[in-house]
Amino acid sequence: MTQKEVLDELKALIVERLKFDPRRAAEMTAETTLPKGLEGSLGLDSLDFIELSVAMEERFGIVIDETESLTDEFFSLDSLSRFVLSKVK
Amino acid sequence: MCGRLPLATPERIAVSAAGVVTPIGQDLDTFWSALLTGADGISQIERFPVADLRVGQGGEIKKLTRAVDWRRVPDCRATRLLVSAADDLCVQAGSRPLDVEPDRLAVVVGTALGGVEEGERALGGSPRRLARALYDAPGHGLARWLGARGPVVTVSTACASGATALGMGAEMLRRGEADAVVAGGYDILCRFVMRGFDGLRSLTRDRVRPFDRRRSGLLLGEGAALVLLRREREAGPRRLGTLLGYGSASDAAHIAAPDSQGRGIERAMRAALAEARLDGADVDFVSAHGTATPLNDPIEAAALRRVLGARGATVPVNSIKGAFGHAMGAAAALEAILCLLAGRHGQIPATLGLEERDSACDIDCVQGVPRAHRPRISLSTSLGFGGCNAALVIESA
Amino acid sequence: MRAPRIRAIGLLSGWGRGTAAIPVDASEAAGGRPVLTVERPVLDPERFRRSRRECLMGVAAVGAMLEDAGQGPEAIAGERTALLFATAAAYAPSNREFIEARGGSMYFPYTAVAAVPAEVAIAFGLTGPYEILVGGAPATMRAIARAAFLLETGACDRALVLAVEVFEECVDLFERLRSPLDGPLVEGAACLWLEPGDGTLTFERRRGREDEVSVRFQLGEMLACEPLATLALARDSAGHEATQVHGSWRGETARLEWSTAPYRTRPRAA
Repeated sequence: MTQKEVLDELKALIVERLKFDPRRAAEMTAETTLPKGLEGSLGLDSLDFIELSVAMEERFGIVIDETESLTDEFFSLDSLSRFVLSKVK
Repeated sequence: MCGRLPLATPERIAVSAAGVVTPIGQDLDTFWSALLTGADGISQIERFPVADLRVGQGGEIKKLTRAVDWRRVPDCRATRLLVSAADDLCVQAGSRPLDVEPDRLAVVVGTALGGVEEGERALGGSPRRLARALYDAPGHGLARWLGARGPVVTVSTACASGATALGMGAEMLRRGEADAVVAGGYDILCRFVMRGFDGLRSLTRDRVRPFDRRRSGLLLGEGAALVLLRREREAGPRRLGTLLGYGSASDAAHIAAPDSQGRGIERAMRAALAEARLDGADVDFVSAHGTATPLNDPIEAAALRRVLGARGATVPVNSIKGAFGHAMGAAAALEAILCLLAGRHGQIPATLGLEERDSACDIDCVQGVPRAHRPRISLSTSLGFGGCNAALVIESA
Repeated sequence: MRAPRIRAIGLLSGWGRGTAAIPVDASEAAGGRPVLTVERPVLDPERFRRSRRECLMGVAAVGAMLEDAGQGPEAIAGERTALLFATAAAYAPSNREFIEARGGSMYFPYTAVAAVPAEVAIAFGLTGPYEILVGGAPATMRAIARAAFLLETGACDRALVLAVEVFEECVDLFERLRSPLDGPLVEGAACLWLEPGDGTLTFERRRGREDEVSVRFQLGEMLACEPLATLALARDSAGHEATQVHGSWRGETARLEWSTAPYRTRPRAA
């Protein structure tokens, strides 16, 4: 998989599982930040991140260790897609 | 703190008796000695499939052992837990049926899940069970078994439900709506709730370690706990203690996480103390919520320190959740009963699972062995999904 | 107890917004429809993207209540506002979807009865006393009595009593529980704004069904929303506040009565 393909899959998950509007997803780029509290971010909270983790596990066939702190990985779509790629390899 | 002063000191409400059913004991005495000896009520869940979940452990009651005629009780686990606790309550109170006019006996129960397992079974193809799936069904089942013909109320403030039930029961007595109230809470371990918390990654694969620096999450348990409340002037000498105050507050922060500063549980504690006409400095034991999630414990500990004041670092604290997990609707009622038992026996049980205190939880949670201490005024705290916060202030007999 | 004053009422129902569309005869007006639904309220889609329909209905009911009062949300925000919620079955659709594994992990918290009032508390910043009762009309009447108690003891300066019922997602299940003679199930969300008042409020309950003509004949089956819809109807149609509300659920009938007789506190022994 390329990073672009992972990015597109993540955007699809954000629409499907986190209930964002598809038009909003179309505007998202690799630079789009995710966590709540960052200006201009998608404003995702802990519940969203759990849902996204479960969705990513199902979609990409990876395993995410919930005891690990993944703050950096969940910072932006870019960092998240790189994280997925590293797990898929 | 509050607005205008209330008109008069609230009438004192006595707790005449209590009854329980838990994974570590199906009567009050066994429950108490199990807490003192550090019995571990956690086991691999057997009653329903858990193989597809990350965690398959919980505080499961393997078999109901009380001599109740179960043919007279609907085949609904939640109702049967309530009846089991009520049977113990009647023994403790010294009479079955309870010595109250049926029309003047009220039932107030709290639950997070209600009859949801009946809903699972009904959707799986048993339409008869649908009516039992409504959240207030088990409470009515309990009232029928008790022969209670007074008000029957179900409250559902998630994991604070047991406390809300006791507070509401006290108010009903003060208003004269009943002469005695059987109040408490219940919930069962079922696939619905295990899938739910497992999916949230809230469950620990280790053990439950309240306020421990290695804590990694909660485990779920089940049970039912009931107390018999009466107006003090009518209660007679036989009693466990007095319910002095109840308070509640909303976090208005997040659907599933507490306010990060613990402001809601702080407001609930202060409201309960205000109703009791007491101060945080009067508290000499805390039966904490202590779920052992990374998030909950330091928030609760900090709120306790703010409310208890300078003495807060040395007031003994206990969390029973180390012994058999989080019994949800039953938890707050069990924690209130613990306050009464600690006052009766003059000992605070150790918190099972706590071995290395987290310095971020700067409270004196009893660990290792029970501590000799007879609390006069206890505080019980509960936090639940949806920002529900409740606190009870209890005086020992 | 001391009677609270009704400051405002907000009502959404399967009949429409407010009381204007409430018919004289529910069964006739329903024309064979088993359930009258409330459309998912249109609120900020990104802010409320996770919120279930019943949660949004609760938020919209409070919005309607504020509009009725001619006030903005700042009038109710904070720790001096109590929030009491009553429902018989608003948790049914969320529970069903979770049981049938049609929701993700993040929807499990929404299966709690507390999910609806939580969304309302979060939306309006309500941080005062917080109580939730499960049951039909008597539960809501008890919530009103409880609100009166909280106002009287000074635990709050105002109290919101909220009720929400949804049926559409579970209409097949509800139909199995009802008799063919019952009127239509009517979804609803209603919120009452109470403040300290004068006069006396009496709350009574007894075993047995209602012996007075039930308002269900007019409203349809609104369960926990019924008392609030009754209060709104009485106020809007007769131009004065209702003096009494009654309703039943599970073989119990409750009654709330407002009287202008001055409320006397009984002196209590210290």
